[in-house]
Amino acid sequence: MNPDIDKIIGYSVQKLAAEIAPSLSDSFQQSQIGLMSIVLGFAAREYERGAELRVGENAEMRRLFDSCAPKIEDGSLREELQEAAATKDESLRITALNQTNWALRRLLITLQAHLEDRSDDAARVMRRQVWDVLRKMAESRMISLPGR
Amino acid sequence: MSDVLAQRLATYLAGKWARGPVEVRNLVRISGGASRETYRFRARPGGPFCDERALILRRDPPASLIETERATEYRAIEAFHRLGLPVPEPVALELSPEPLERPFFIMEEVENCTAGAILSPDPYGEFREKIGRQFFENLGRIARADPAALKLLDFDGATEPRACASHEVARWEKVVETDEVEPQPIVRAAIRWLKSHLPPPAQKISIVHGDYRTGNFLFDAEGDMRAILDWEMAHLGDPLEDLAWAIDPLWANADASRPGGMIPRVEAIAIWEEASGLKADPAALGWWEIFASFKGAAIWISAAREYADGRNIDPINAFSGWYPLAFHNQILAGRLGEMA
Repeated sequence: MNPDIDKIIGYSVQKLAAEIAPSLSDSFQQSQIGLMSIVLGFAAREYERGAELRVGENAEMRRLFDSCAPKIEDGSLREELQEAAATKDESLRITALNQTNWALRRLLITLQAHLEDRSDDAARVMRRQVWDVLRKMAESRMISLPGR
Repeated sequence: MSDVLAQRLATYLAGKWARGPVEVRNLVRISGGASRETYRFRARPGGPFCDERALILRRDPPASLIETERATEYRAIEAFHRLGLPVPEPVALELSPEPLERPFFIMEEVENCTAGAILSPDPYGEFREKIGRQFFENLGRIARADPAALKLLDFDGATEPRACASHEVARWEKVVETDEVEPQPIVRAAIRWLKSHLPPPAQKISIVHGDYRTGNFLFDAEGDMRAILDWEMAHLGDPLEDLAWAIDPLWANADASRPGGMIPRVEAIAIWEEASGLKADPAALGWWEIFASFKGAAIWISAAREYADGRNIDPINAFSGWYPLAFHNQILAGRLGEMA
């Protein structure tokens, strides 16, 4: 597709912010357009990075589950982790990736809460592994403001 | 639309002031957050010697960012204005939807002032230290005030010092439960951590402003703080909650050493302690700082839900679901991850 989506959104934002907003006499509407421009800028960046970000997160969570599963004594949770670790992203549509991502996140919450109830060394190591994954996820989801 | 609103407002004020017809002019909507519609206007009461008044109308939107008791903001403004803090003079509170379709209140406009931009790298320029000292002193004065003397003991919140922390965690956990669209593992971990590491009881029950930060107060051209705004989340609780919220890194453009982009953290806390007569125990404050980032995340989750459901499509709600939520997730992951 040409022009690319990020170009279409980027130039639309440029027109909104540089031409349309200044022509408005209503300062509230001007500030609304300013905010809409920022949000559209976010959307353009998400269009570019969205699939890769979700595929990366899903892979990180599957690797974590694969590594933790053998050390989980609760049979039902261990099985869930093993099953989730073996799944794959069949589609690269954002909606499909989100569904998988949310299912994996729910299991991650269960795993972390389970580990918090244990006081053994193996659990301590796994808790740190979980936080490593969460930190990476938080960093990858961070989005910078325009001009920063 | 604003002509109709102006006319209805004039009719309302004429009835309220009972001094004949009221002229309302220059009614314009201004930015004031997504949880209330905010308008500036001028009103001239009837009679030959009545001066025109510069006023602000705060009306409930069709859906609120955070559901708040609408009388709360007005009563808090009334109480702290009376106490002598820089708070606008309240004019009228109307809970009936009849006059303007939704409940609203009116207060004095504090003119020729500006609010610091929330995400600006340097919101106060040459005045940052002067404003910073006033900012933390006024917060200390809010903490020092006696809710009973202010007649605000019926506000929402904990009435027992040992219940403050758990009450607030429960309150915001409920918001997450209700409004979460996608699973939030970092926020969930924060809730569990907060519940299992509760801080010592509050030193006293105070009125907590609830959203005391850059962007929610006005200052003038001399760098004097003139109006503390947005009291809609005011409640009873631990005064450290407000201090922790005020020094949250989101308002400091991530520079936690200089809260709100104003004065160094150590100085800010010392000023607050002096003005409040309270101590900011580092461990207790540390807990409330984690809580502040969690509460922020809960607010952003709620805002994103409002937008996603089409109940309030103010772009600030879309923005909140992206930048501030990602920011607070990152802060929480960093702080909690270090302690794991």
